[in-house]
Amino acid sequence: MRSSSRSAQVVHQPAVHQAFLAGVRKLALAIQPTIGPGSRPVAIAAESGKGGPELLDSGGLIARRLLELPDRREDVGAMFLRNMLWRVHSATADGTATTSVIFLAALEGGLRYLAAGGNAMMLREQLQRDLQVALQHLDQQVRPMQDLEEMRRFAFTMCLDQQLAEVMADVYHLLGDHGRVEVRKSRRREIESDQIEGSWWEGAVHSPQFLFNRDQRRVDLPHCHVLVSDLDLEDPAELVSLMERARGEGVARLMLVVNSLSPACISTVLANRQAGQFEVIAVKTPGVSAGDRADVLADLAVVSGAEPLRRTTGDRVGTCDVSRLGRARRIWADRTHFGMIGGAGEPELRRAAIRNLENAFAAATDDDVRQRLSARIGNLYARSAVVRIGDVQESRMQTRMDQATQLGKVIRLAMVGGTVPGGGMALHALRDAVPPLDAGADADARAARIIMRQALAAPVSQILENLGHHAPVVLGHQERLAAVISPELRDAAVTVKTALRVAIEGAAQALTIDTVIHHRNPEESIHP
Amino acid sequence: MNHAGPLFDTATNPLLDLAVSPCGETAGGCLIGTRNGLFRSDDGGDTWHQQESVTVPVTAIGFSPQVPGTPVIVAGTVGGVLRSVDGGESWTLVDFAVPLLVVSCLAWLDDSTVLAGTVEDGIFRSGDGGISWKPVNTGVLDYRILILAAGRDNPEPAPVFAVTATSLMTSRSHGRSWLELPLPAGEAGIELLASRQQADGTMLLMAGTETTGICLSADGGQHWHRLKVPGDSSGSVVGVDITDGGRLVVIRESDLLVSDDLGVTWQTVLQGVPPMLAASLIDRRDARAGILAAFQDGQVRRIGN
Repeated sequence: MRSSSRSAQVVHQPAVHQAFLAGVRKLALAIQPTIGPGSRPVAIAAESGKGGPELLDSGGLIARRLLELPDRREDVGAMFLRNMLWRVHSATADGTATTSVIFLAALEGGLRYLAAGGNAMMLREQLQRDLQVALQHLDQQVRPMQDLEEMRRFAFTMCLDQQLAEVMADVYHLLGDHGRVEVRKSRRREIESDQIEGSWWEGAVHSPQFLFNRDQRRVDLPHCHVLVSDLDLEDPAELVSLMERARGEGVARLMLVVNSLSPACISTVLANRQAGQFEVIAVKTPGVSAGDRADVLADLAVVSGAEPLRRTTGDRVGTCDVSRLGRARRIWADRTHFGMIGGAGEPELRRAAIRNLENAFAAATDDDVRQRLSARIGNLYARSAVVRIGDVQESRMQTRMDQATQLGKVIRLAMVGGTVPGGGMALHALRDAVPPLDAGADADARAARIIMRQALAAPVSQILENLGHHAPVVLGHQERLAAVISPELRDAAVTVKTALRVAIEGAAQALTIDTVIHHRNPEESIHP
Repeated sequence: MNHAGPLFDTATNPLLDLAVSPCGETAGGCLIGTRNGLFRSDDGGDTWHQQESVTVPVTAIGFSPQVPGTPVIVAGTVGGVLRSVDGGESWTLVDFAVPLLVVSCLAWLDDSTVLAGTVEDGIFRSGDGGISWKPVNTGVLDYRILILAAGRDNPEPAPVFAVTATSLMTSRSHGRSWLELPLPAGEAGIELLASRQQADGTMLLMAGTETTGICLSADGGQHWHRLKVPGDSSGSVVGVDITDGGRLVVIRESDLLVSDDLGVTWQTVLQGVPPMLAASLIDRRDARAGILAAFQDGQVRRIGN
């Protein structure tokens, strides 16, 4: 990374628009081949100069690989678009090529109008007004995802990988929109999925000697009590006191969820273990931050019916009442995770906790927060699965794993928000919602309408061009159009809405930029 | 060996389930499960004999729907299910390998898929006619399963329903995952449940509840309304069913009523019957074919036509 200089260069019109548009074009044209059913990959040379090029068909990832344009003035436009695309990619895992095509069309049209003396601020206002009309009409095209077969078709059009599409569609059909899905590597060649029963967390056993079944590196305890805490357990006397009281109350198996366990305590547990009579294991309290741990303690309590022991309230294991322990019909642990099946927590409390999380999910805007909330909801609902991706080549396996993760996100969006006609057809149909204005209308409004209609037609036109057709000819013949872009092709409604909103709002904002300040030695943009 | 006298008594050997073979008397006949084992009748309930090989409690009974033919019979018990492929002559125990498990209810979805609900261990599924079983508790928040209901003539994959101690659930994935539904009148105490998919795709669901009486849903459990059954007394219903054509059947302690218009009007098919504890239709396609009824004196016999 280069150091930035204090000296700067201020650039005004008309140079700003010219350079901005040139930068946008360079990135947008690089992404255009990836749009639609006839998408083609873009080759990106390895940064090290060694090895083969990286083949990407995701506009978000292509944009992310582009760190800087050599011309600083053009770089501003490219980075403006790059930032927009990454936001779309983060939110929807799809739709970036559509965003860039709409954005470029709207920007080009807008700049032409401004060059002819148009008012940027008025144009921006009109574009945003037309955008709201278009978004409302887009809602009318939304159809809920009907059944498993439709999910499979949808998934296939998203990834063009039959096996991956079927596995991911099946998994989400079983788990529902808040299902918790983990994508892992597999040593086999196939893609497989397993439903995981119950709720589970990341938390390693404090000693591998707790894994009774050493061959499977796992321990299973039926009818087990649970101590839920974020405490550091150092003193064996405290542990012995709890174990004696638990045994006295008829507890036969106990899992301790504690932040840390001293070697002396581990030895105490192992020494007191009597297979079939009194079995104790200990796992690490999940969560990195205090906030994470608080969430996990709350979830563990809801599932098991335990009353957690907390460091902040001065709780001690040695004085813990047995009534504070939770229970489960079955508990399991391995080197990295533990889980509960048939937790004794009150179902009504669990439903209330899920409702609270669902409300928080609906209100959250940050993608990471939403993902964490969704995973917690899926875990409390006991809806989780592992998808194991295998392939002969390591690089291809990694690509398929990335694809699976992105595909899962898109399927979930389609399940929640429904689908609209794909291949740019939903956007093209929106042109009816924003018809041309007659000559008597306000000039800015008329210009905005023309720009909006061109932008809405741009994705399907680009898709047709990618497929080797002359767009104006095909668009004029419905039968021919249906033969080229299947009416069965669907896109997630949320993706299309996000792409349209981000692109038009971005273009409207970009059109009002009159001044750019360049640093003499700008930092490379490593963040989206 | 023919059995003389009461087959069960509520104090020491309570009746746990009764069922009638869909293939008639020669292919499984009538079965009742009690704490002391399994009784079978091949003459419509006139004579009964205890299955000597079954000495464990039989908590639930389910016949596979294949007609004609010899149905596979599974019977719920402690630890798993008993399975018979010869019409109930011989039985094999299939252990679910879960300690202290007790099967509470069974439902066949097709000739090879059968679900077992358990008292505290959720739902298990077999895709091979009851030979092997796997837990299927995705989406299940309450593992105390009371009732499973599936319209037997449903085209795959028609929804199947489960009642727990605190919820009503449905599965649209042939029992592999579950989703909670609104409770009838917000009431958790569903004691009886029947489901049937109509030819036009309408999913009928009828529930007998603890305090609200009989409730009906015509949209797969999303919305419910209470049915006005003549002389309705919420505590006296011992069975509900939905037969072909959407005919609703309500069996009460001493009568049987049917409705062909989704509960608007009712006709009494049987009345003046001695007090019954439980009952099952002899032929699920025709409510007028009579019922197999268990009476308070411990007798079980066929009544009606």
